[in-house]
Amino acid sequence: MADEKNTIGVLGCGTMGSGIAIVCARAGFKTIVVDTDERQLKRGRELIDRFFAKSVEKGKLTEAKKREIMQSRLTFSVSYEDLKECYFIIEAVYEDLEVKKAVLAKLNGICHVGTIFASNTSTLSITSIAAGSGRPDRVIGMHFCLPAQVMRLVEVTRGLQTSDETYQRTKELGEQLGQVIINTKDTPGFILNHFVVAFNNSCIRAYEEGRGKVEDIDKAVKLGLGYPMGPFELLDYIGLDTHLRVSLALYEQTRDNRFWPPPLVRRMVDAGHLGRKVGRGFYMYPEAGMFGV
Amino acid sequence: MEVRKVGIIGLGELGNGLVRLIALKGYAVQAVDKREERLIECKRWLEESGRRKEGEEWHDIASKVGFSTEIGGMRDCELVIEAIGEDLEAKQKLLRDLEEVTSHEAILGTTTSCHSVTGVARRLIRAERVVGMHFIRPVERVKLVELVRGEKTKEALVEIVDAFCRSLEKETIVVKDLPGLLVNYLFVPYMNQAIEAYDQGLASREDLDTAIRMGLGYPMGPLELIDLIGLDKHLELTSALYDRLGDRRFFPPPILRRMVDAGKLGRKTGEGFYRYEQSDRT
Repeated sequence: MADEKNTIGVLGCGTMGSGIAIVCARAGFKTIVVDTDERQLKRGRELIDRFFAKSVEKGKLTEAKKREIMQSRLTFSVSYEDLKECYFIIEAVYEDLEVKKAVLAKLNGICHVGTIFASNTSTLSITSIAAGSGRPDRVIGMHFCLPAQVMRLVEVTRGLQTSDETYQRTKELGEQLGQVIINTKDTPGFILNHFVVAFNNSCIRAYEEGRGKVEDIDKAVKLGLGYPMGPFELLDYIGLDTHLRVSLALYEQTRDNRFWPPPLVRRMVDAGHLGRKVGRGFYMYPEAGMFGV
Repeated sequence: MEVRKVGIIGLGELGNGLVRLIALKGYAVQAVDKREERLIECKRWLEESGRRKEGEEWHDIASKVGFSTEIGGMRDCELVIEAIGEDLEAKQKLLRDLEEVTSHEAILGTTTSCHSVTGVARRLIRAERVVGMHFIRPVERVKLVELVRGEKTKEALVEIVDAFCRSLEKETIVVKDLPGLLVNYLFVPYMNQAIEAYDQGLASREDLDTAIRMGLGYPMGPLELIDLIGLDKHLELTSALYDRLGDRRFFPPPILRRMVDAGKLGRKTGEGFYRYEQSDRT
C-alpha cells in the first residue's frame, strides 16, 4: 500500500471531495485529502467517518476495516505539499475557472512530472482548466455525480490536449474505483448538466406560465416520465443558488436560451429560498437544518 | 352521474390498451373502429389475455366488450373516449357525430396531445361536455393521466372524469389547454436536445443513454426510448407542437427528418439510432 501508484490525492473537501475520497479509500487506495480551509477539512472528515460508520451498522464493513480505512488509508491535510507523492490527483475545489487554474499551476510545481490532474468540474471546459497547468496533456475531466459515494457514473472528458496515455490511465483508475466510465466531448455541461439544467429550467418556465402547480409538475414528471425525483424536489436538493450559478455558467458559454435561468430563480435566491438547506425552496422543510448548510 | 358503460373509438395501440384497462375494472365497454380487421384483432387479443392471465377478473374480459364498426351502439354510454389519429378535422367531425348519437349528459373524452381540446370541441352544440384525457403510453402501465379543461368544459364533468380515472387506479392532474399540456411540453424539447447532441458528437449513443440512465436515474436513455416510441411519431408530435408554439426548442432536428425519410423509424423497422434483430422489433 505504500506504493505511490496506489496514492490518490483529493483536493477540496466539500460535499463532492468528501464523496470522492470515500470512493477512493473504499476501493483500497491510500487517499490524501487536502483542503486549505481547516473547518471544511474537519467537516469533511466527520462526513466520511459517519459514512463508514453507517456502512458498519449496515453490515457492509467490519469495525476493524473501518478503523484501518480511517487511520491508515485516509490522510487529511491543509498543505498542498502533502500531495507530492500522489500519482493521480482529483480536484474538487470551488467551481471557478481562475480558482481551478491557479490550483493546478500550484500543484504543477509540487507533483511528479507524471502525475495526472483530473478535474471534477461539471460546467467548465477541461481545455481551459488545463491552460496554464504546465502539463495540459496530463489534465483530464472526471466528473463524479452527487452523491459520489452512491452514484457509480463518472463522465470522463478529454480536453484538446489530453494525451492518450492520460486517458488510458484515467479509464483504468475509474474501473479500479468500481465506477462506470462514459466519454464525453469537452462541451459545456458535458452530458448530465447539459440535459438536467435545460430540463429544470423548462420545468420552472412551465410553472411560471401557469401550466401547473409545483406539486403537479413533480407528479407529472415522476409518474408520466418515470424520473426518480420531480424537478422541484431536485432543485430544492441541489440548491437554487447552485442552480443559478450552473445555469449562468452554461449560458455564458453557449448563449443557448435553454440554459438561461428563468426570472423566478433569481427572485428565489434574492429571497433566500435556496432549498432544503435553509428550510425553504419550492417546498417548505420544517425540519430545516437537518441537511446542514 | 355514475359511469357504467364506456365507449372507445379508434383501436390503435392506445385504444386497445384503454379497452382492456377499462373492461378489467368491470365497466361495460363498447369498442368501435371503422376497420373491421382492427375489431377482430382487438377481440382476439382480449380472449388471449383472458386465457393467459391469472385472476378471475381476466376470464370473462372479452365478454364485457361489444364491438362495432358504427357508433350507434354508444347510445347508452355515459363516457365516450376518442382515440383516433391526430387529425383535427376527423376528431371534430367524430365528436359532432357522437353528439347526435349519445345522450345529452354523456361526457366526450378526447385523448389528443397535439390539438387544443377547445379546438376539438369547436363544432359541438354542447362543447361543455368535452374533457381532454391524455393517457401516456404504455397506457396500462403509466400511472398518470393529464385531464384538460377546455375553454367551455363544465367543471362538474372534469370531476366525474377524475373519479373515473382514479377508479382505473390512475393519478390525475388537471392542466391548462395549452399545446403539449405538461408532460409533452417538458419531454419533447428534452428529446430534441438529445437527438441534436448525438448528431453533434457529444458522446456515443451507448454512452449518452448510459449517462442519462445511471447519472440521472431516468428509466431509459433518450435514444433507446425514441427507437421504442418511433421516430415518425416523435417527428409528428414535435412538428405539431412547433407549429402551435413557434418555440425553437420544438423544431424537429434535421437528423430526425433525415432518418424518417430513410425509413429508420426505430424498433419497428429494425433500425433507428440502434439496429435491432428481428425478434426485438415489437
